[in-house]
Amino acid sequence: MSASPVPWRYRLETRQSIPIMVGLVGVLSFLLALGYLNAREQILASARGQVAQLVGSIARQDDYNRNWLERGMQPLVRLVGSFPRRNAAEQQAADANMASIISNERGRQTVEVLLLDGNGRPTLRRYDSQGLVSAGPPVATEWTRQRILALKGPEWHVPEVDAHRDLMLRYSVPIVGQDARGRQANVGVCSVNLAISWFADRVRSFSPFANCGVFFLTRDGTWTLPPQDDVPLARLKARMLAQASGEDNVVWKGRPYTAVYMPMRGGELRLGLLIPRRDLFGNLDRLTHLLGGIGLAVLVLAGYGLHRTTKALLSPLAPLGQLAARLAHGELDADPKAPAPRFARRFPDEAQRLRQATETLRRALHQRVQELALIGQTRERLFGEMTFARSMQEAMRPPKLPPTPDLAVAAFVHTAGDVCGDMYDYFLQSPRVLCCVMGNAAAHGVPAALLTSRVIPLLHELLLAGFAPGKALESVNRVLGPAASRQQHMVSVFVGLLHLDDGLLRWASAGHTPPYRSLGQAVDQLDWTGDMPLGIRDKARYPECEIRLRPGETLLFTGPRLLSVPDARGRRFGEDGLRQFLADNAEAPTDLVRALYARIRQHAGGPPQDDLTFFAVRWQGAGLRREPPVRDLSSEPGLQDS
Amino acid sequence: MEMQVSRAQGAYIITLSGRWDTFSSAAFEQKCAALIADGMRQVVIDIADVDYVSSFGLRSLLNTGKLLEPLQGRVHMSSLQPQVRKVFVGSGFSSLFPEFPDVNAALRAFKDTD
Repeated sequence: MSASPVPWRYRLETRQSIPIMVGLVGVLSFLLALGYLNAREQILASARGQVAQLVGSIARQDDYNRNWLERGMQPLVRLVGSFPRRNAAEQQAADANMASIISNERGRQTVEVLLLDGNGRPTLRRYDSQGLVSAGPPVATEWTRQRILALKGPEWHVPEVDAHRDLMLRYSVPIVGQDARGRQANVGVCSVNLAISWFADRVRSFSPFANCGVFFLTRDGTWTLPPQDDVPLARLKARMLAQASGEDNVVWKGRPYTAVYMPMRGGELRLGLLIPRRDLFGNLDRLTHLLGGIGLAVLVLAGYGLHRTTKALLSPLAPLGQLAARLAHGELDADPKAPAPRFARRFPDEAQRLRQATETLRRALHQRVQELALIGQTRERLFGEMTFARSMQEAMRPPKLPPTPDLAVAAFVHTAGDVCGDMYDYFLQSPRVLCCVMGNAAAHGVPAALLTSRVIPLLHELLLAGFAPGKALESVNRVLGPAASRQQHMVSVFVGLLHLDDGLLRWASAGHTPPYRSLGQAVDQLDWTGDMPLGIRDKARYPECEIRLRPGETLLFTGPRLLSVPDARGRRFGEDGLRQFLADNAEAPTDLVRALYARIRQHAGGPPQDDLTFFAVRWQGAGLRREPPVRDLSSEPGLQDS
Repeated sequence: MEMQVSRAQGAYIITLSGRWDTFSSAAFEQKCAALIADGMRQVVIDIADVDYVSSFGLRSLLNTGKLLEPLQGRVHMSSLQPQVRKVFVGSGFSSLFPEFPDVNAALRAFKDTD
């Protein structure tokens, strides 16, 4: 097993390289086969061209040869016609004359003279340019007595190609004389064989034809091949008879051949060549084998090189992959092993860059996780502080008032966030004086809790100590002023003292919304004093105002948020909405604040998105006795009943 | 709340529209702080299209005034809707930031007091 850190399943030879190599082999094989077939077709086309040239050459020479033979035969025929009348001496002279005639003519030619004696027995005399070659009874001849007698005129034979690839043209002319009865008849035949040597040169000029066999086929199926070839080449003969030109693969004398054939003499003949396939495609086959071998070697080398290169590239990545896996499992302290810089000079060291990037990512993740942990701790601490602030704010809510027959108070608090900036308080300064405080710190969250937790107890203590509303506000403003000014906070507060004996209400306001008063259909708002919130000016003065309530009159303390609650179309609940609600609802404070919240929810289409705090005080008038609320509503969300 | 800033007669005009509440007051403060850093000293805040000002809105206005005070800058309010004016005047802010019926009057007031 290799010591490489790259697992085998990532090695190219087992995964990617096989399809790549198979693809390359396939492409190479396809190209090789395509090239082979194309080259083979080119070779065949070249062979066809050569055969066509042979046919053309024969055609160009044919008429000339014929004319020459027909013309050259005339003195021969005349001379041969005198043979039957000559004695031996004359015949010897005639033979010499024959040699002279033959040698004077062009080409390599032989002459055969077949004469029938008076008994019809044939005598064959052969001549060449040297003279008489042989004389005597023919051993084997195509000419029979009947055929000689039936010969009507000159006859052209089917040409042949001999063992030397000379084209053999043969022309036979009947010899007319007097037979035994003294009648004019054929007494012999004279055949001239012309061997055309240029044909052999033309054939040999194309190297694949060096060992070819040339033959002719007539329309009646007679070819110049030996008769024993009829059976093995029967398919070729049939194709040649059916198709004027073409190629065919045949096995001849136990060896593979490609036969190429074409028509000549106006289709009278077919010229065919039996070309050994080894001669025709041997070079191509050898070249193909060579290219295939080279391609295979290149593929093997390429595959090996690919494998080595990929292995070298993957090796540094393996530790990075392990590092990434460890990072994915949360092991942010994982330290990557520096990969060995292989091929650093030949390839850009992307692995090193990737390692650095991964390390940067790891550090960033590590830092981010630490930050998130810190944020989580901070959030948990803030949540705890907010919870504490909220509990502190809830703890500052006024306790229930002792039962007072001519007074009913109920409050409602809706907190949208954790800690709101609204503050309220009510308590008895004395058994017959009710202090009412309603305010708002322009802050949220812990700052709001800190401000309210500072203002409300201060005001509470000052009012309990007997301070008038204005003086109490001025005192709180002096205490709050510098710090609030630095922190850019301000607190609006309304403080009122309701004397239960006569309904006198004295109040001072530090920029807060005055309460609404309602009795029956009459709804009004106390006057704005025009004094600014706490925390803006250290020496602000808060003059007091006073009114006298009518028995049964209700005061609703709230802030500007109640009026600004929007509906689905953005329309505010508004002062008109509140006035209408108060005019339509004259319930006791407990039911009044609950109905008011229900009305606000109806207007907003759900719980309001902002903090809401309001409380109602109803003074029944001195001497009137009413039962205090008996229902314990403190468990209802937002509702406080006194 | 939408906020547009323009200049006229050497003063800045900040035109606000919508609700001047908790969410928009921070943007107002930041914008004004940036303008003051760029040299804004006299500014008219046109709130003709503001139908609600929360305590946060008033606080952001107050903080802007505090930034301008040491720079001898001034803030004039213009075109207050009745319900807004009721809160603005009732909470004493009109003593800190003079109000005018329209922008031109607010701009003229800068020249008159120069």
